[in-house]
Amino acid sequence: MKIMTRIAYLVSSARDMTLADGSTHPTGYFAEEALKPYERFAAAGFDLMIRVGRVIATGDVVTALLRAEGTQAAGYAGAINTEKHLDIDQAWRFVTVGGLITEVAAYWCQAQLYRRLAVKRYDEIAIA
Amino acid sequence: MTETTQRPLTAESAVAVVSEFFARYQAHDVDGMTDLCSINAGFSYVPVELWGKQRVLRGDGKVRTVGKPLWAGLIASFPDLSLTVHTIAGNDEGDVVAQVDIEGTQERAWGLIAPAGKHYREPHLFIFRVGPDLLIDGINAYWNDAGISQQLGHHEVD
Repeated sequence: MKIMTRIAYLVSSARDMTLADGSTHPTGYFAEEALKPYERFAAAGFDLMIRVGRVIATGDVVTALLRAEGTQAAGYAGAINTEKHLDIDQAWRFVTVGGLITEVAAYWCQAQLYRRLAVKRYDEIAIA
Repeated sequence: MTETTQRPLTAESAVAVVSEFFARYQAHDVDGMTDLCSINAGFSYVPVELWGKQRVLRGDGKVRTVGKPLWAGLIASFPDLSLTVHTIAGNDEGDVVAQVDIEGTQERAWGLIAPAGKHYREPHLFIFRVGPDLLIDGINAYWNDAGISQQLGHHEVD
């Protein structure tokens, strides 16, 4: 079965970012940088949408609140493919130093993910 | 409600309010936690959802109507509930982000999980919004509920 592709790209229009010491660091992207992964996802029939609701900057820490949506097309995290749709709200915390990401911590609920993939038990994930 | 101060909203004052919130949480002072929040403060514990046959109950609403009962219930089920604040960072707009481990030993039922005397410890990410009056206007929290269930010996997703 061919799954139609849905891709959402979120790119910032910011031209610089303010670091903890008050200095600014240039940021941005080239159109080609956004185009290349799009072409690869589209070629693979990928169905995943990432929507960023909020981005919170607190000094060198940047936290993004996002929702990932997609339809399962293959086994994932031990769960067999039943072509279920999932939507998972997540929070990603980045630490940036000198304009580079030095630390990433991602928070989401695996119970919500398994619930949406029709998994019944954590110790029998492959049995839907 | 807590008497508001005349201090301006800054990253430091916002972090101080949230630090006090966690100190009161550590002391199991649910009323004190609530007093640090505005009367209409929003609340969202993202992993909280109970799937019924007709609808899904979520941990979304207001601090006073959803948050307070959840905090009180958690403390009742885990009487030794304890917090470890690892990082806390804020900005001058009143946003505060905190990485906190919460742990406790289960003595009473918690949701669908029957008490088996087991202990859990799970990382949480809290996002607060502190208003100009230095009261908390919003609380969001993220964690992995599957981690808690499995540590407590509950292996059913629901």
